[in-house]
Amino acid sequence: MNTSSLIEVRSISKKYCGDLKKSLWYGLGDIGKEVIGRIQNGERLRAGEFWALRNVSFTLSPGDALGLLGRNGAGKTTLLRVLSGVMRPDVGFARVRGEVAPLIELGAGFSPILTGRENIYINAAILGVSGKAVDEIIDEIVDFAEISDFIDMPIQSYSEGMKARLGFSVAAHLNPDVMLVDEVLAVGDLGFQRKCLNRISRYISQGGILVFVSHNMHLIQSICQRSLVLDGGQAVFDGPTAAAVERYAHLNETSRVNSSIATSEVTDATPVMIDALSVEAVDATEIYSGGSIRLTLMYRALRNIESVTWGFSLWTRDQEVRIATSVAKHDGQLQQLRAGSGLLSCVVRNLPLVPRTYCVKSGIYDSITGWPIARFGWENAPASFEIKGATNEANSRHRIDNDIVDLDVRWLS
Amino acid sequence: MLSLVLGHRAFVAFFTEVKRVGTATKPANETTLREVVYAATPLLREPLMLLRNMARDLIDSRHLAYRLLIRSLRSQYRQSLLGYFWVVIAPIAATGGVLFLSKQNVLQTVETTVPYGLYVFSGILLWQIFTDSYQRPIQWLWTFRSVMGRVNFPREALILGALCEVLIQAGIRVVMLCFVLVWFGSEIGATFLIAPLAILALIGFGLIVGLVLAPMSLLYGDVERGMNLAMVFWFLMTPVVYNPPTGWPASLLNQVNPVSPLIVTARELVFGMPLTQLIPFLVVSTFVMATLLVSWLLFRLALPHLVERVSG
Repeated sequence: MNTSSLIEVRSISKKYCGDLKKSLWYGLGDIGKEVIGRIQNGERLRAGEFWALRNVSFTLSPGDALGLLGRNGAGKTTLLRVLSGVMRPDVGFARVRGEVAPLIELGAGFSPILTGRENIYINAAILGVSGKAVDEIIDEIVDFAEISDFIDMPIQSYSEGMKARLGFSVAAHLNPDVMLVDEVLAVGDLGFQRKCLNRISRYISQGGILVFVSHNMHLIQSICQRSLVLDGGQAVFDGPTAAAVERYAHLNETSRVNSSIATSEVTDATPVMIDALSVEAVDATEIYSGGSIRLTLMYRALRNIESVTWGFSLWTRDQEVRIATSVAKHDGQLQQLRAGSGLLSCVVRNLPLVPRTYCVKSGIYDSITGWPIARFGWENAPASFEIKGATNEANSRHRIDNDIVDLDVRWLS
Repeated sequence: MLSLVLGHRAFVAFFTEVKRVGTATKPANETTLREVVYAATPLLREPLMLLRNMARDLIDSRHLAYRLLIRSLRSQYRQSLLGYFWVVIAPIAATGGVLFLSKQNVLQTVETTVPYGLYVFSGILLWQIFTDSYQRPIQWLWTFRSVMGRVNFPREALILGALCEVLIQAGIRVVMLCFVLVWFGSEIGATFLIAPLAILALIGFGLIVGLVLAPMSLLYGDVERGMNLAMVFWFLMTPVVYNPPTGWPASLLNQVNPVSPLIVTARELVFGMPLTQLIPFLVVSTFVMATLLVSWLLFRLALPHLVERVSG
C-alpha cells in the first residue's frame, strides 16, 4: 500500500439475499462457520443471493474526494457500509487508516425526547468522540447548525431539516480522517447546503478524505474531482467526475428507453404520440459551436387535433439543468394536427453551446390551455446530440470549468 | 439518581473519556493513525488479535456506554410527571402489596424461617434482578439495531450500558429490601454485606443468557416470544415463592435449575440463614465467571452477521 494512502479497496464483493427467510437461515449458517473458524466460500452465490457489490477496487489518499454515482440499488451505500466497518466484504478487503465518520444517516442515536444539546454528546460519542472534546466545540456545532434558539428544546420539536443540520454539524466538526457522506445534504435548505459545501471543501483541502454519494450532479461536480460509477454492484467507470456524470446519464437513458417501450400505442386516452425526435446539423456533417441544428419531431395522431402548438427544451446530458425552452409561435400557421403520421421541424441557429453532449425533450401542447398532449424525453429517453469542438485551450478550459454556454464577448480593455 | 447509587465522581471516573477530536491538519503523523482491515477472514483465525480487539473495544466503549446509559435513563423517565420516581415505584408497589397481604395473614401458606411476606418479597426482587439482566441487553440491541447498521461503534458499549442499567436497578431494589427488613423488624446481619456477591453472580448468569440470546433475538422473533413463555415456567420451577423442594423427583427441578442456588443463596445471605446450597452456588458462580468470556466471544462473532441482515 502506498504509504500516504488511507483507504485501499481491493476486489471487494458483497452479496445480499433477496429472500428474508433464506437470508436469516444463511445468517445462522454464517455464524456457525464463524464460530468454528471455517473460511466461507465468498465467491459462491447461494439460492436467492445476488451481488450487491462485485469486484470493486480503488485507492484514496489524503485530500482525495471520491464521488459515488449510480442508480438506486447500485451498491453505493453498501460500499460505504463496508468502508465504515459496519459489514465485512465477502470477497476482497478494505484497508482503512484513520478515524472514520460515516454520515450514512445523520444524527445516529438521537433520542427525540432529549434536547439538541444532549443529543450532540450522544451522537458524538457514537462517532467515537469524548464529551470533553465536544465541550470545546459545542458552540461551533450549534452556531453552524443555526439552531441556537432551539438547542435546549427536545429535538422532537425540530423539523427534519433542523435535525439533519444538527447531525451534519456534529459530524463535520469532529474532523475525522475519513468522511463517508451518503445523500445527507438533500434535506437542508440551499443556504445550508452551500455552507456544508464550503465546510467539506475546507476539510478536503486540509487533507481529509471524502467519499460522497449523491444524486445531485451539481454537488458531486462541485466537491469531487474523481468519481466512481456503480451499476448493478460493479464499477463501470472510475475517472474525472465530468466524464462520470456523462456515463451515469447514459445509464439512466438506457434505463428509461427500456421502460418506455410499453407506452407507444395511440389510444383515446393518448390520441397523440411522439415517436421520434431527431437532431442534425444544418448544411454540415457534424454539429459545431455557433452552428445550426434542425430538430425534427415525428408524431402519430389518432384523429385531427385542433389548436395545438409544439416546442422543445434543451438540457445538459445529466438532465439536471434546463438550458433553454422554445415554443412555436405559429401565427396561424399551425393550428391542427392531422390524423395519421406527420413531422414537425424547426431550425436553431447560432448555437452558443460549448462542445459536449446535450439532450432535447419535446412536447405537443394545447395552445389555449398550455397542457401537454404528447411528450418526448420526459418519461422516456430524450434525444441527444454532441457538439464537436476543436482541441484547443478554450475548449479545454470549458471542459475543466464544466461550462455550458460559450459567450460571444468583445473584450474592450 | 446515579449519584445516589454509585456516587457521581466514582461513576464518571469509571467512564473515562477515551477518544479525541481529530487534528485540524491531517494526518499530522500517519504512524499514529489506527489501521483496520475489513475482510472475510473468520475472526477466530487470529484468536490473540481477536481477544486484544475485544479488550480494547471494551475499554474504548466506556464513554459511549455512559452516554447511552444517560440517554436510556433520561428517555425513559423525562416524558412523565413522576420522572425518576418510577425507578422505585415498582419495588415500592411490590413491597406495599406484600406488606398488606402479610398484615391480613393471607401469605401464610408456606412454612419459612422468616415472615412469609418478606420471603416472597425478597424472592420476587431477586427474580426481577435476574430477568432484568437478560432482558436489558436484548432491549438495547433492539433500540440501537438501526444505528449499528450505519455506524461502526464498539458494540460492547451496548452490553456495558445495559449492565450498568441493571446494576442501578438492582442497587435500588437492594435499598428497598433494607427498608422492608427494617419494617419487618429483621436484623441486617454481617452476611447481608456478602449478599451482593451472590446478586452479582445472579446478574452474571442473566447477562450470559442475554449475550447468547440477544443476537439470536435480532434474527428471529421466535426467540423473544419463546423466552417470554419459558420465563413463566422458569419462574414456577424456581424457589421464588416457596422453599426448595427436598423430595425426589421435585428436588430434581432444583438441582438442574442454575438460577435456583443463586436465588436461594442470595436470600439466605440476606436473612443470615445457614447456606443450604453452597456447593451448587459455587459451581454455578464458577460457571458464570468461566462462561462470561465465552458468551461475550459468541456475541462478538455473531453480531456482524446479524447486523447486516436485520439493520435495514
